[in-house]
Amino acid sequence: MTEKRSFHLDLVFLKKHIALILFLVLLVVNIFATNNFLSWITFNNFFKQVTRICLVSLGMSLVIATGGIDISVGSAMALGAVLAALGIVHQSPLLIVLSIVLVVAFGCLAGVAVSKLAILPMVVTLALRYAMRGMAKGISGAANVTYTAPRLTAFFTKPVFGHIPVHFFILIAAVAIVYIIVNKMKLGSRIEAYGNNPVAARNCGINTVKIVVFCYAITAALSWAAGMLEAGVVSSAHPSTIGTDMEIDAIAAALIGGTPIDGGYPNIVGTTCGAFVLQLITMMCNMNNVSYPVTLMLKACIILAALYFHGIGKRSR
Amino acid sequence: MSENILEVHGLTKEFAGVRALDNIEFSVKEGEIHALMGENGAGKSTLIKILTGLYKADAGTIVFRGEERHFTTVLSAQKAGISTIYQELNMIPYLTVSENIFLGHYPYNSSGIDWKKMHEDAQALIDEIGIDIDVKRPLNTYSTAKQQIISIIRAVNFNSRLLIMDEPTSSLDTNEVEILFGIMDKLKEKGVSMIFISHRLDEVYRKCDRITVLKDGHYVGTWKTEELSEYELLKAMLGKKEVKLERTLPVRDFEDKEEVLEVRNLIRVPYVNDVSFKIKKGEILGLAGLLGAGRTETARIIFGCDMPDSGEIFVSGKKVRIKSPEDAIREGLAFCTENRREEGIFPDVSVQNNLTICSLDQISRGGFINSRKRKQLSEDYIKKLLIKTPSGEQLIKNLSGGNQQKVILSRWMAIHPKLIILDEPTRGIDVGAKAEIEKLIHEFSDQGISILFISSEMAELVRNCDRILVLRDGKIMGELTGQEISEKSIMETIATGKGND
Amino acid sequence: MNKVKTFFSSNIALVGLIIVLIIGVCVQRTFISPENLTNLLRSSSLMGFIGIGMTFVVLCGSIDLSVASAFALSGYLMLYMAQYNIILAFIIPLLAGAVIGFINGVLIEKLSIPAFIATLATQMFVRGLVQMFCNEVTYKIDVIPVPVLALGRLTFGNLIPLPLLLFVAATLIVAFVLKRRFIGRSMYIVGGNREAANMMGVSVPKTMITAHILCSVLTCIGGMIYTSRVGVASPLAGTGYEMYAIAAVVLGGAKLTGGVGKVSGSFIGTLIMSSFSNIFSMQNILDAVWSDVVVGAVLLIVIMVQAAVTLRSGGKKNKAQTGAV
Repeated sequence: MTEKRSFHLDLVFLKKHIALILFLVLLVVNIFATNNFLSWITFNNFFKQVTRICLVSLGMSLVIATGGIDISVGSAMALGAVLAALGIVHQSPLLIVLSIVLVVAFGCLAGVAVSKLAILPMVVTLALRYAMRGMAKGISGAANVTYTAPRLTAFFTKPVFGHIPVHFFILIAAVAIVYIIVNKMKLGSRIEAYGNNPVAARNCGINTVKIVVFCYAITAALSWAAGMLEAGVVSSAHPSTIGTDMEIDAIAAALIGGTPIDGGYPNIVGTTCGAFVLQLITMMCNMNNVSYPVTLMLKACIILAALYFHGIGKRSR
Repeated sequence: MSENILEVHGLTKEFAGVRALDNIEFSVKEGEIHALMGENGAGKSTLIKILTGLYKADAGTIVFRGEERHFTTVLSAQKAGISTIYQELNMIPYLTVSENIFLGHYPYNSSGIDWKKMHEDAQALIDEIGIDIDVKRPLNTYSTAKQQIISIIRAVNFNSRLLIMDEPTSSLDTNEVEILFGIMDKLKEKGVSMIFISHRLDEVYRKCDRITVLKDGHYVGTWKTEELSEYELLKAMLGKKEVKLERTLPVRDFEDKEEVLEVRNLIRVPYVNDVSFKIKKGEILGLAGLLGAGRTETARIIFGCDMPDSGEIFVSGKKVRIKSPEDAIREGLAFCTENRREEGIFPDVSVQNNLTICSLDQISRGGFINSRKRKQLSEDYIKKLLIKTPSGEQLIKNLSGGNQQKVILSRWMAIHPKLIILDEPTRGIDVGAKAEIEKLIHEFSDQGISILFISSEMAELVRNCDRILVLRDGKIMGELTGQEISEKSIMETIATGKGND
Repeated sequence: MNKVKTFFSSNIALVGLIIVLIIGVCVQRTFISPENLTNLLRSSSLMGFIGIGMTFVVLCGSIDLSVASAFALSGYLMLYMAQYNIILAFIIPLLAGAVIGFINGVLIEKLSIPAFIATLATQMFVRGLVQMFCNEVTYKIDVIPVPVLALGRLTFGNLIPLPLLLFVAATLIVAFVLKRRFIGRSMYIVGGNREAANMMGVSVPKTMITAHILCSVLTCIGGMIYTSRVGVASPLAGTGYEMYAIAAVVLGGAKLTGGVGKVSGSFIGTLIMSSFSNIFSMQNILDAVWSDVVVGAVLLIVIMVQAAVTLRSGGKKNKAQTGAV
């Protein structure tokens, strides 16, 4: 009996930290197995790539915590980036402001449709996915929007303190903010409660609509930020390529991180590590000349394994 | 004397060491309507589930139509001639009525399922009953009542010899009940036997030939309906054999106390039919009645979980509109729900967060939670209510039922409510914890918190309430105060309610 | 009045299609020219196979995102096998589809991985596989056998393309299976009420796995036709088609929660989707790049109307009842 109990506790511990453990294992393996892994270049590349995935994953984690899903994040990135890029081209601050307002407004719309009209999150965000990607293509004429803004570009590309990319700080800030919201604020407690048991949450007087709308809105805002990052590095925004397949990475990161797919506690540290794991696999494969297809297959297997692992124990009930 | 179509002997079933059924005897005659009565946990549903093949009995025999049978699937029971109509409909809402009737045994022709024949046959079955249903329309375009009737038609169409009806009338209005009874009469003429489960005594007395009562998994007895008075029946269902604790509560006078809650003419068809009452400060008002008498439904309306069809609610003399629990909490109401697991706790959340979820405003500033205050608050209550948990960090699902309940009580106490509604607060809780919770209820009352106390355990109401309202079929049958309160008087009020109709 | 109402509410998709067609004619007369209609129908048939396949899984309350990759894989396999054996060229891709569908079904039903994620993973895996086979470049073979070419390019009487015939035939067969066969009805039952299905002896895993297999196989037919039409196998073929198919199914009136939907709806939904792009390419009021916006807006309007209708027609009361115990 006691033996079983300790195993059970271990499983709980493992589930909570599986993403972190995976990340550390991959890190150690790479340090020994991959040539030139421990270098500033790797560090730079890693954070330049992982930050946008991580930003979107943080939002996705919140949405998944409410029992929802958002497949419009990639399109939100594109719309935000294209609008903002146009704003820079035409030197119109209004457009830049509009870019975030519009994207967040769409997020709110998704939240309202899900919580008030009881539409499936998947369907609403599918529609928004088309709408936002379409708008991005429409306003740009489906062409790459290139701008020249040396200072802005320098901000995104020039390392701080000689070695550290600005992405690193953005990532730290975003993770910290979302972590604080989830773990230190009223809102976070309410999101957790709502995700865990929506009926009980309503009985406790929690405004469920507000919670859901917030989660979709913050996801939209984070997607916007991710879009800016992606555009900022190359000083241009292509409406068709920005953020494609981002929802796959984001959902995978959140789920590997231990946010339960049917709602519950949004595991922010786990989600961050989940994003790190995905990026690390990509980099590892890149640096060891493993072809892209194999990387893709490897990622698929890891996602399945993580999901299967998180499902253990839940199913036995 | 007609033959027994079903005989059950010595049926026993355990769940994790708890005997849900203990040596049950039960028989149904051919063509009779047999009422199966008992309160929550009596074992009715377990018995039915064994009869229909959902559960396997640990011991005992089932003889159906002269043969000993052990059904392993619902389908095999159905094929043998036992069909069940559940409270929750086991039908497919989006499919047509005719398909729902023929589900699982479609008529076929050379090219597959024969829809024309299916529609015709289904329509014929419907027309025979004489209700207005177009079988080609989806099932969910019809009311619950009609769906209920359709599910009966389906069961009969399966050539059932024994029809088990689990609270078929609970969501029907008077007219619809009449239609259902008409169908039951026709079936009876055809020689179909029925097991009828209902909490409405009138219906049982109108329709049933015999009554079997179960209590706490035990067989109490079987009587002919005309030989058992309502009072005797209630006593069989509710009465305690063991010596009960005497009522210790002194008679308290609330005449000059301020009024905390008043409801006027609350109606929500068909569950609540014109309920009005008042509660004074610090008063413990009990709601007594059988299952389905409208007690929980009344509480849910007061707390804004459901909207009433009509009626008014006053809090501290002021008329309020409560549209959601959020509104109710703002008015100083609290509601400890009946289904702790489904509607009360957040299972994967810590005790501390479960406890403080409603009082976050007190312990936070500008949206940020003061974790020290949160810990303090939860530790205070853990200490005060003697909640057994290794720490506030423990997940609530790992606590025992009684301790979970105490966490929820603490959750509501922390908002300092004017009134707390307790719906079956001691259900599924061991004896020791029960006594503690009862003690807490009195402490709350002494602090000036009014309590609306719903319980199916009459002894509990008798021990703790200053005043008791007796409900039956969503109506108030009578009110008992102070020394009038006893199990006997409650049962009499439920039983003799007829006269006041 | 009531009849008209029922007709409209059960045939929203058809009404939608008529509106789209009217818009099409208003925008450009040549829209209803035989050549254009042929074109329109041919392009619908490519996607259409995915749409009608998706109907199966959506009916069961599941979803399949791996179709996009299965679409690409089947094309590659057909071309590859065509070099060796013409019969295998037609059979192997279908078998591959069946295997993918089977894996999806097993992941979802036996390992209890949510359909969305399970099929996302298979999508990635199969895409990786195709890219590996193709070496990440477009795959060509020197001589494409005539039967393989005919699959996508044969046109009868210059008006009726073979793909369209196949598409219509497939739709009819699927309609027949869904309406007249027990396995088809099982899908409605499983999607409509899983527990009831279990109680009535309908095997949920069996139904689910069958639905996924059928979905993937139909998708592969679409992929083969597409590859035959373009003559090469692109490792990126079909990217985004899964969303397109889901949109078509939803426009066709199916519910992603399962139990509701008709293959005729998905058929019409597909036609609506391809009409959009067709009309967009023919008019010059609004630039073609805006077409996705219209798709999104129409989807949004359709689901909002659906939701409003469900909420009003007693959806609320039912919710309260389940809560009341």
